[in-house]
Order: sequence, then C-alpha cells, then structure tokens
Amino acid sequence: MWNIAVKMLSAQRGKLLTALVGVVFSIVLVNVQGGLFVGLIRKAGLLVNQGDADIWVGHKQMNNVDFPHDIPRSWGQRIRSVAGVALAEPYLVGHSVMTLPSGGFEQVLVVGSDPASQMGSAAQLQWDPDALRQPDAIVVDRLDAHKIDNPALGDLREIGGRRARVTGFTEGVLGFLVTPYVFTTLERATEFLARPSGQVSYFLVKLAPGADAAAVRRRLQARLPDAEVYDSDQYAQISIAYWLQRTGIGISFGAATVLGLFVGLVIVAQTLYASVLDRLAEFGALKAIGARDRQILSLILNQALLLAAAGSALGLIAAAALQQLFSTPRAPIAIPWQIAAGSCVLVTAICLAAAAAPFLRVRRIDPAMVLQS
Amino acid sequence: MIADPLIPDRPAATAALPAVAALGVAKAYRRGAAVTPVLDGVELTIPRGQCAFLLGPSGSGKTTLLSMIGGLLKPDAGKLSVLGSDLTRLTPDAAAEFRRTRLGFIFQRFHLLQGLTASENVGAPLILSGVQPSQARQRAEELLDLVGLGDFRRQIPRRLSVGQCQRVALARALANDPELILADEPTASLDAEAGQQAMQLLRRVTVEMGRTAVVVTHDARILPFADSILAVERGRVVAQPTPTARPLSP
Repeated sequence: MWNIAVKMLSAQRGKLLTALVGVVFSIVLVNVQGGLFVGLIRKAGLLVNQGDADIWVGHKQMNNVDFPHDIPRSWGQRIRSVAGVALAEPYLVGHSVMTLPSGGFEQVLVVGSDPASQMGSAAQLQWDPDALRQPDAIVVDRLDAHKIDNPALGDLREIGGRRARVTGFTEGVLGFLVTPYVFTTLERATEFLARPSGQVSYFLVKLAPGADAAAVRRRLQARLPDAEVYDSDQYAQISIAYWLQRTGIGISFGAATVLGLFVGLVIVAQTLYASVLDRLAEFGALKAIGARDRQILSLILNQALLLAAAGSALGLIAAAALQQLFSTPRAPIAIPWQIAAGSCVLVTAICLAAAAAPFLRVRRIDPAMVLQS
Repeated sequence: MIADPLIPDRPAATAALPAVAALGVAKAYRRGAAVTPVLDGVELTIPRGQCAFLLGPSGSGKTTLLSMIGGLLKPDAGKLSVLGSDLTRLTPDAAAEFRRTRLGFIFQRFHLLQGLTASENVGAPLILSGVQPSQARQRAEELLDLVGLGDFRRQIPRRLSVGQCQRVALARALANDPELILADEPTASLDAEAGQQAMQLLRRVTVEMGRTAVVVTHDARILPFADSILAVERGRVVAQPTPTARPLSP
C-alpha cells in the first residue's frame, strides 16, 4: 500500500513539487524565524550563560542580569561558609556613559569581575586576562567598536568621568541591549559606576565537586534570607522572561512566524486537497476493484506522511544551511531541537488534516462512476 | 490454468448456480424530484463459463446493468444473484470484498493508476487483498506474460499503447483469479486489429480458465466472440440469436 501511495503521488510531479515547496517553505520559515527569535532572546541571558557559575546570588526579586540591584560585598564570607560552595566571586554590572573622542557619548554596560576569577571573567569571556592587569584597562567587543568610535588597542576613552584604555577585544559577545559591554576589573568597574566599594551586583558561586545544587541553593537561601538564589539556567530563563513579558517581543516574532507559517501551510493544504480531487477517478477505480474506504484513507494519509517527511527533512537541511550562512553574533540563529521537532510535528499534522479533508469527497465517490465515465 | 495459491477458497455450494441471475430488477436515477427509470423488470440468466455480451443503444441501461452485476450499484427492486450471492444484501465493505475477490473489471478507459508500472497496476488488487508485495509482483508478472506484455512490466501506462493498456487492464482483472469478468466496452478505444486481439485474449481466458465474462459493447465486429447476446432495450433484456462463438486462434 505504501508503494502504491508513493507511486501515485510521484505520478503528479508538478503538484508534488508545489506541495513539497510549501512544506519546505513552512519548515524553513518556522525554524529560521524561530531560530532568530531564540538566538536574539538568548542574548538576554548572555552574561549568565557565559559566566560559567553554577549559582547566582543577588538582590531579592532580581529579574534581569543586565539590571541588577546592589548587594553587600560582605555577603561573600557568608556564602563561602555554606557547605557545598567551592568558590564565590563578586560580580558587578551597571550602566554608565562612555565619552567618545568625537565629542559624542555612548551608554555602556560595565561588567566588573576579578581577572583571576574562574567565573564571569577572562577565561569565560574570551579575552586575554592579562589585558585587564594594565592600568585603566577595559575590554570591549570588536563588533560594538563602531559605537565607540572604533578604538584601536591602547586608545583612551572616558567612562563615568574616569579614564579607560582599550586593552583587548572580545569577539561576538553582544548582549540583548544595544549598549556595548565593557569588561573590566571589579575595582575599576566600581569607579566607572561610581558605586560604594562595599557593594556588588552578584556573587557567582561554583559548587564543590559532588555537591547537590538544590541543597546548596536551599542552604544559601536560608543563610541569606534577603538574597535571591538561582542556578544559572534559572536565572538565564528569568532574564529572558523579563524581556518576553515586558516588551511583547515574543508576540511580535510569533505573529510574524505564524503568519508566514499559515501562508506556507495554506499552500500545502490547498495543493494536497487539489491533488486528491484531481485523482478522484483513480480512487473511484480503486474502489471499483475492491478497495475499502479505509484502505483509500490509508493511501491518502500515507501520501501526506511521505510529503511531510520529505518536506520536513529537506526543510531542516535548508534551515541548517541558512543558519550556517547567515547566523552572526549580532543576529544569531539558534535552532533548538524543540523548534525543529515541533515544526515537523506541526507540518505533519497539517498535511494529514489537509489530506483527510478531501477524503470526505473520496468517500462519497460512487465507484460506478468509472463505468459511467 | 494459472496456479493461484494466493486466492482464497471459493464457496463450493454456489458453484452449481448460474453466474448471474436477475429477476424483475429495476433501477431509476433520481435527481431532485426528477426520476429517470433506466431498467424495468430485467430478467436474465448467464450460465457459468459463458462469454455473454450485453448490447444496446446508448442510454439503454446496459452499463447500469453491468454496474449492478458488479456490485457497484444496487437495484431499486427485484432480485439479483451474482455467483450465488445476493448483492442487494451486501454492506459496502462486503460488496468491496466481493468485487475484490470474485470479480474482475475491465473499464472502457482502463483506469490504470498512472504512477504505477504495468506490473504494479496488475498487482494492485492483490495488494488490496493483503498479499505480500513480492508475491503480488510474481503473480502480476505471470499475468503480464499471459497477456503478452512480459517485456513491458516496468513500463508506466503513459509509455504503453492503448492496446497494451487494455491488456494490462485484462491482466489486472485476472489478478485475484476472479470467477466473473466484467468488461465495459473493452474495444471502444482500440482499432479493429487491437480489438480483435483483445477479444481473442478475453475469450481465451474465459474458455481456458473456465471463467465467465459479461461484456458490454457497441462493437458489432466482436459479436462472433460471444456465447450469448443479450440486448438491452428500453430497460429490459431481450435475448438475441447467438452467433457461433469464434474458435480460439492458435
């Protein structure tokens, strides 16, 4: 039956191609559009994801890694004393203004950490940690350089009224905000941000080998009732949710994707529907020679499955190729398996529904038509 | 005769009954309030092993009669027994199974599946019966050899001549080793020579395999292939003088 389904479908090459293009288009659209969205929104948790900490400790109700509230640096000792904590490093994040040689200025997001730290610092953020040991040193991203008048190594800028020297570049560490990241030492960040020296934004915690993360989190929360304690994945998700819920970006992207998907699927559904109706005489002949309705339905659904499977495979290959070609740090295309699998399931469901709908027509075919035509 | 391990046992109790027996069969088509009577009180008997022709002008009801014999339509009134089964009592699924296992159809326009090769077209009824594809293919190739198309088994219908398509349709009709073959204008699309060849083949199958055939035709050139001729006139069947059936050519 499968063979008959395949052969009948492939006999109408033009229609098969049109339907296949519709399926491929739908899969590519969902995956690339969804991948762009995921790539963009994941940038909201960039510092968390690149920080390499197991647990983030911050102010009560912290909700976005880029918009922290100060906590006392003295908490560090209490955190380090909790069983299961191997390391706890202070981390400072805050907004400031960089004055440019051209006379302009640019909002920047200053990130301060201990250059020797194993978390949220040099090793995780790509640049040479020794670069920050130079006086007034800052590291910026090469892709954000145009926003700050394209500095060369050694060029001077001013942040929060303090002198800053560009001593290194990261490659593609771009956040969700348009403000460039400026990486520096904790002490220098404190100066750029004009913060009291006893305040930081977070403590990044590394667990001791074999420690149970949930248990350590509970102990930390008990030790610091005024703090919020999240593991890294949680805090990245919270930071992402901040933008999703407050900007409606998910709805905008989602609406565009759904609209495109709808167009693609209408093409598929219409083509499949027309393709089945075009073959009413063949289905009539099959009924006349003894095919049961459920055998015809199985044949039509097999054709839809084949189309969905082939279109999904080609669509995923095309989406992966587009991802390779067009994904950049500024507009990353991140296609999680959930989107890839979800798009295939959705397209398959639509193909099956689109094929099953004309079956109602096929069911009503009087097989005597083949003798009377 | 072709060995047919794929074919289920036939009900022996009905073997003595005529292939087709109609008593007072009537049929009318309804469109809205309009009722068009087509057949009215048809009485006929076609013994087994015969090649019976249904003749008649267009609109006389012969195709409707063939459709009813084939279980594709139900009579409005009367009794119709085909191969011992009362077709008026069959459910749609049972009628489909009856057609698939006991009847073979040859359509005027062949209705071959365009994407399938000759072999796959012939094997299609077997696949519908649940036969394994390899067995169906083997049987289809035997039948294509029988109708002289062994070298064309991998050709799709588009690449075959009209006469070859007709032979593929005949082979398909034989796939399930039917007791009764129903042919609707089997020579209408063929030239004289191809028509003669097709009828030679059909007649050979009927005689050699001990099957019954009912053929609807307008084509006077093929009347010598009939064992009996039944004329359909104004909704009734009238027996006609039957020519001596043409002997099979060697």
